[in-house]
Amino acid sequence: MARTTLQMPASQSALSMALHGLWEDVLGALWRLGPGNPIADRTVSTASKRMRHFYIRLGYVGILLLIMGINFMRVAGQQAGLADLAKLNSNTFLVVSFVQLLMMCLLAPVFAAGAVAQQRDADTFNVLLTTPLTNGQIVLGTLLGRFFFVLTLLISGLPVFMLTMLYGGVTISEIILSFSLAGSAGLMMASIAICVGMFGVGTRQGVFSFYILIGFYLVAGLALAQFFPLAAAPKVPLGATMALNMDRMPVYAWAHPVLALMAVLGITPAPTYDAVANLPWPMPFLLSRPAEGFIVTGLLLSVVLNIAAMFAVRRPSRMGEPGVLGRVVAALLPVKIGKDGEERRRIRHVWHNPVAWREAVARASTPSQRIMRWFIFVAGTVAAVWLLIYWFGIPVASRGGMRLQMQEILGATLIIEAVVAMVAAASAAGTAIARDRENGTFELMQTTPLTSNYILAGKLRGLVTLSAPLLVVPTLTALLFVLAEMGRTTKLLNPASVIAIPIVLLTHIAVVAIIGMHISLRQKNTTKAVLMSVGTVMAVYLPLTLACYGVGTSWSIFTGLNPIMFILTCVGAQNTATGGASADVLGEAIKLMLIAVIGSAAILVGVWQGYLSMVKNFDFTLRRQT
Amino acid sequence: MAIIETLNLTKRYGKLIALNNLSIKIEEGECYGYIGPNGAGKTTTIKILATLLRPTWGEAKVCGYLVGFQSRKIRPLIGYVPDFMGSYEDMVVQEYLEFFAAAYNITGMQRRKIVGDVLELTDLTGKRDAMVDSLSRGMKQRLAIARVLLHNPKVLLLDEPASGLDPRARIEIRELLKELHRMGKTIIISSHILHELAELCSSVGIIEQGKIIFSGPIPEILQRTRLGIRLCVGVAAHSEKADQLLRTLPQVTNVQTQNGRLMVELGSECRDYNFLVSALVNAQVPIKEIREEEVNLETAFMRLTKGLVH
Repeated sequence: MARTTLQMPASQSALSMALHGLWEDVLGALWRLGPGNPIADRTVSTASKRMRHFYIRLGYVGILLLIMGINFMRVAGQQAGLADLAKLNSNTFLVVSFVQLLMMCLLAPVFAAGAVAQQRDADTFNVLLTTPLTNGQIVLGTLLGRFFFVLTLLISGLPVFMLTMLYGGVTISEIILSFSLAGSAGLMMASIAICVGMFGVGTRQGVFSFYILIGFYLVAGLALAQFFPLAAAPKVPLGATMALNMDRMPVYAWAHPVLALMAVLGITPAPTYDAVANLPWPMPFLLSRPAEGFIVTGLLLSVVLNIAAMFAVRRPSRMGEPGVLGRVVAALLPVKIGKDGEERRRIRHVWHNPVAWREAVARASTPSQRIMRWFIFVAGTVAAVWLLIYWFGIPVASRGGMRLQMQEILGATLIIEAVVAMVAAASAAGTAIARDRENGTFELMQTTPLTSNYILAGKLRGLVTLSAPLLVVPTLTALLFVLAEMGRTTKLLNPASVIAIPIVLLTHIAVVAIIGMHISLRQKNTTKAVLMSVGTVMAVYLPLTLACYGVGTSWSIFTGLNPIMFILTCVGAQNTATGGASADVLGEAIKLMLIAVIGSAAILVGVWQGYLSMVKNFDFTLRRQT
Repeated sequence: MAIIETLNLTKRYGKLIALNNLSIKIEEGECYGYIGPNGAGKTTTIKILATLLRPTWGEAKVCGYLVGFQSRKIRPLIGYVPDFMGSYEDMVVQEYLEFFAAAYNITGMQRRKIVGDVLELTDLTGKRDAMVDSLSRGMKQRLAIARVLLHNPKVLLLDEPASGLDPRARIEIRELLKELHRMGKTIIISSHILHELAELCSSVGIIEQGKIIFSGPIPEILQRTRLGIRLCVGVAAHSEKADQLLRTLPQVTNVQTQNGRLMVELGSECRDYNFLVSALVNAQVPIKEIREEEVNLETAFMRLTKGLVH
């Protein structure tokens, strides 16, 4: 590549020339790493013209303005003083900051996911590897290209924040911290996406796993916050954090963007530096300034991830030469590579219904599925055992006061385990037809004598069979607690939960499978189908849960219709129904089983109707698509 | 009796007319080559016959059953091989075949036996535990053919089965198809490799822009596209003199030099080329070689699609 160089006067010393050359090289290198990076330039110049990005930005600013408008409407027409307006402004800033951060966490992965999927397009990537671009240029170019969208999104929301400063109540430093938090979260997510992509795990499933991990990290972090309060942090009145039920800032606020923002906004204030000064470095800084802690940690993590990605850029050149880890993984997998380069494996028996077999057995045996299942199983078991040890580690005399808190922890654990199983089922169901259509196998199946009801029944059966083993985790958790408390008069968990929880969850897995299959049939793109499937399941269950939560944890025939409420009932039964010591254990168990059976039967009727409607519309939908 | 018959078959994709009043008849046991440029409508025709698409207008019959109305009766009678072989991840060859055998309701011991037989026929027995995804393209195409043989269909619909294959794999597939033809299967095969089709097929159909421009036995198309005698003349010396001399002859319509030989085209009224030999001998041009060039399928296709013959 031709590069222009400045002509130096002959009188100048060799040292100054060397310094000039060095300066030019350093500047040139930095320029090519940053704004002059051809990859970043291409991504920014081509993708920024896309209407989709424009609509996303438009929607983002629109939502921020709408929230602000709604907030101001509340005082419209009232005689409000400057103090009231400042308070209103502060409140608006609070809401808008949360929305900005949450939307950044949701939208940044959408932009960054392109980098993950890029690895899939190996032809383009391979061409890139044959150019003189360095590893750093490739990684940073990809990162800057993706982060640009996150940045423009943030900047587009700036005028909305400026409006909140009109009547006071919000300081510049709060706005800067709020923006920096959102920016840091966006950068971190883009870096994770690029690292995942460069390490060659950026398949469609990789993209989906990335979304799920981000969502899980955010939700689980919030859900568990109440259980890890920082003793040195100032106490806040109960109800200040609403459903989060926190009374203090949690110990890991510096690692979670929403919790860090809550500290900035004073919802759960951070302790002073002196209050935590006795802790080892850098904890005093991280705990007393969680927002800055998150920003610094996020930046450092991004640097580490990008450096790791740089080392992984040319990994494909070592294809076929596995490292130590690769050899260990290969030894554990049932697939062996023969001398002819073909992968071989022991032959399995195909069921009478091949479609069900394909969904249940063939799919479960892929390495990614195996790893995911083992991870869920091990993590769930470790959590259950840890909880058990924690509970029985508490002196008997103190347990009475801790019972309610422990039931909440146990309930949260069971709910997380159930949600993981249901999300996994929704993801698998989303790919059930869309992926077969993408890889051409659905077309082949259509030329066989298999009828629509046979194909759909097979898919449904296969998906339920595929996801059912994940229910072992909540069942095992329940079983451990029931066994450990056997013979005691007061129990944390209704003993019938061991049977009732898997029954209820299994029927809900079938519901999720039907929803996912409906979407998968209509969507041509697998990634879209998976995201829509998971999103729809959340959209169905979240309002239902919130509505039930509003009613309260109580015995109701409708409890069986919602898995989360059902788990809460299993956990809270002894307290809410009988008050503990005088519990009629057998009666409560029978009651719970009845609710489980009736609820499941009602759910199964719904599943059957969903299946029938799908069979009815199957041919029509396919014909419309062709 | 025609095993496949289409009458005014029309398929539209929005405003695009993929097939325009297509009418063809294919007899039982025939090997029918389906030729046409990219986007001519070959895949659409094959997909309609495979019951994957419904015609917008007209009708298509397979074994006497109407596509779109009696598709369920057609499916057990056909075997469809797409241009791109769809495969499931994490499946080995035997599982793949057993999967489709189960889809054709072949169960129990019979399934194992049939899978073994087709593996042997397609020479894939040694690959039964190999992952489908790790097979070479040639092997995958053989596996695709093995799949369509599981239920012993009467009609095989093959959409460019040899595309992207190396010469050895192409020859192997061709020999396999010849064997299937000998076994009495009716084969419809679309391909761009015309000389191979000429060797394999008994009749061809040429389609362009959704319209069939020829359908019939190969000798018929060759006869129809023969415009006149085309000679290849090799001379030992004086080639320039020979070139000038031949251009002066009234019966000669065109002379070209190719690889040191003269390619001479005679008018359609010429029945022999004695006059040409006499002229060269009289001019003392030493003739080394003189032969009539045959019209092959490639030439016929080019002439038909260029509109030189109708």
